[in-house]
Amino acid sequence: MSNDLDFSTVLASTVHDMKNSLGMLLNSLDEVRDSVGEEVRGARPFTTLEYEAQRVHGDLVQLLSLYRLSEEKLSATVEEQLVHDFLDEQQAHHRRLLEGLGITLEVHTEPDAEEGYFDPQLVSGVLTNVINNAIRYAESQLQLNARAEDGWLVLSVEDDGPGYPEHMLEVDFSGTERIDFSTGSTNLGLYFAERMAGMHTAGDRQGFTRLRNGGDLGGSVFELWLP
Amino acid sequence: MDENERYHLYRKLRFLITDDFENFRKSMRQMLSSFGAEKIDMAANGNETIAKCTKDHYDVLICDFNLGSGKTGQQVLEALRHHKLLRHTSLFVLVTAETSREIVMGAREYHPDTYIIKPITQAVLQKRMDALMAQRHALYPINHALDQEDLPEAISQAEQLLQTKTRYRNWVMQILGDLYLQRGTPDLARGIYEQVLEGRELAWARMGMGRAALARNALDEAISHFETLIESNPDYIEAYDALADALQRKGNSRRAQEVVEKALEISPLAILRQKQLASIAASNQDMETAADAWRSTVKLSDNSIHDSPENYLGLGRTLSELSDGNTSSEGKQLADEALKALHNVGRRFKDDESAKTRKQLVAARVYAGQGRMNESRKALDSISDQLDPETLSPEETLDYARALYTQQEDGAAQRVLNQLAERCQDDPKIMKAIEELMDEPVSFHKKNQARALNKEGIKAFESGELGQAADSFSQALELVPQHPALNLNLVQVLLKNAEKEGKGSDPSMLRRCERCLDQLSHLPPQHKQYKRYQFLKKKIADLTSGSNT
Repeated sequence: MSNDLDFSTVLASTVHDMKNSLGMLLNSLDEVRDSVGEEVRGARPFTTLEYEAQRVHGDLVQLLSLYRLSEEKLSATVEEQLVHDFLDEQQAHHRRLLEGLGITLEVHTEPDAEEGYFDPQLVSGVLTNVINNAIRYAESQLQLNARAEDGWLVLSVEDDGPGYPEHMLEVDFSGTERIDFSTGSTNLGLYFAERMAGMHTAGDRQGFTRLRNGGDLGGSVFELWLP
Repeated sequence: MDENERYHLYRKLRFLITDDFENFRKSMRQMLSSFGAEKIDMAANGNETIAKCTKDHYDVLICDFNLGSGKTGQQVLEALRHHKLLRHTSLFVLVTAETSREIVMGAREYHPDTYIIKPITQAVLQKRMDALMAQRHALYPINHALDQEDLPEAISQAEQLLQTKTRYRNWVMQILGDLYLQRGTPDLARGIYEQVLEGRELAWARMGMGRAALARNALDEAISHFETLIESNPDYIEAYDALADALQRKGNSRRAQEVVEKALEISPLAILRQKQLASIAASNQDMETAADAWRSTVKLSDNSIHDSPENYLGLGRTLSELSDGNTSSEGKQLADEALKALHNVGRRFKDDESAKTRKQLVAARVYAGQGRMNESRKALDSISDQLDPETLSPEETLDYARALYTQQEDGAAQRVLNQLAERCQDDPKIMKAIEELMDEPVSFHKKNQARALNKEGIKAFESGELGQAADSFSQALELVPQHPALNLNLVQVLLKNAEKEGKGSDPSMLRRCERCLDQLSHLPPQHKQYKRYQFLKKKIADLTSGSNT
């Protein structure tokens, strides 16, 4: 047998398999929820189970996308999207978990941001991870907003938590050099978001992300700017 | 949509859920009935789904991609579209646990109305279905007209809808452009696409520009649109197919082949594209690629509506070319593979008499190519009562002639082809195939050798090395003695050489020219070398009579 195993391919196919298994697991979890009583459904172990499984799922999706990106096999399929419908679906995706955790997630779409042009799969992957992250820091409220600014569509995830620490607001995620990936998954997640945003272009404009604190809820604000 | 509205809407519609897992079917049904749906049918596999759709009409189909051993969800959709069992007003939702690129790309090509990635929660399903229903409702007048096959009405509905403030404006424009193209008014279609592209570079609009250009036969413009599109959207498969089509129409089949190969790299599960590659590659004399493409075609034939004897025969023919005269172990292996493919024709298409005949014709060639002449003869004998040139189809006749050539019965082969030519005078494709076969009734190895020698000869001729040119043409003619262009090339070069040496009417040279021309005595008047043949024949005749007096 040959020794030159292409490890990144092995890793990618294993991750793909793990992701599909986890999908099955999440589906079963959804079914279990319907067959158990309120006292189990609302209990901490159950929501932890679901939250962590969803987080791992999101991480694996992110990992696979980054792998495809490095293999130059990832491209954005930009299509018209009805923004409100799209955000509604993102909200629905997290609804039951949020109910279990006692966190609300509201969707606001401004009238001039009804229409957008992006790859729904890629953007959904980004928002899922950002929301999963925000859930950890939120007190009780999250918002998913869309607005138009200077011809850009800005999708934002806001929470009422303590906000991003100062050093994170300063990181430039457009290159890998200055990002420290050893401190946990957050930086990698934001790098991923930046790359996915950057895959959306129109003319000479290219999508990007922006972090700030404040917003309607006074916590962290993640913004995805799409051309 | 509020609860009440949803309840009323879903109650009226007929749903069909297809999944091989009973649990999934049940949980999907439970979700749909909680939205208000009452008429819900279920199927466990593709064939059951198609049978149900043949009998009944469904408004919404929710079908899993992975259905176990039978058809995939993509093949179900393909079959429903092919047999026109899916109305324009119906919705097809493809469900998949896979996000693997090959599968997603393959599935996209058949345009499901949406695809949902597992795991599916009730809340997500509801949002997605609501959005889909609202869109269906808005576009219903157009799609209803299309179901009635009333194209003008569909166009007029779409045009009216564009006058309103619909939130589906982009969708309507896409449909309308498509309808304009269908109606044969590409200029109107182009107007739509230009309007869209002024605002933003969108793949479907760029694709439309290309298709509109193709419809006006503006090949260069079409090619440039498709190339632009592929540059910015390398996953947009339809653009590759259209680009290959345009390139072939321009006569650039080398590049067309490259483009199809690229498309197959991205989306390899498309059987028709594999077949297209096989045919382009064969026309480019690239038999290795053709064989691989036929292999993939055969693999994808399982459960496909495009399964046909031709897939196995195509593989058999190509492998017969590759193994012809090659009795090394590699050649034997190819021949065995060919015979196995042909054996499958008999097994899979038991009642197809024509397939049986063609299978034996190809088998006879494979055996002959391996020097197994007895078996070759036996294969032909087994179908001798079918081999009446009057009743054989043109394709069968071509196979028959090929088999006769491998039996070294050139005269019989020519008779059969001449008969066919009389019958098929108005079919340029068949006429071209006859011509090619008569010119070069040999395996592609020899054909390629002869072509290379011909090129060498022409090159030598152009640089004035006439003796060397004559040698190359003569060597080529040893491989394909009746090749018209080669024979005429040799005549021309011999004449020129003799003139140069001042021996323009040298009798031995003239006799050699006559022998070349004799090979072409059966050349039919429609052959593209016929005029040149007549011209040179007269010239030689004049010189000969001149030298005799």
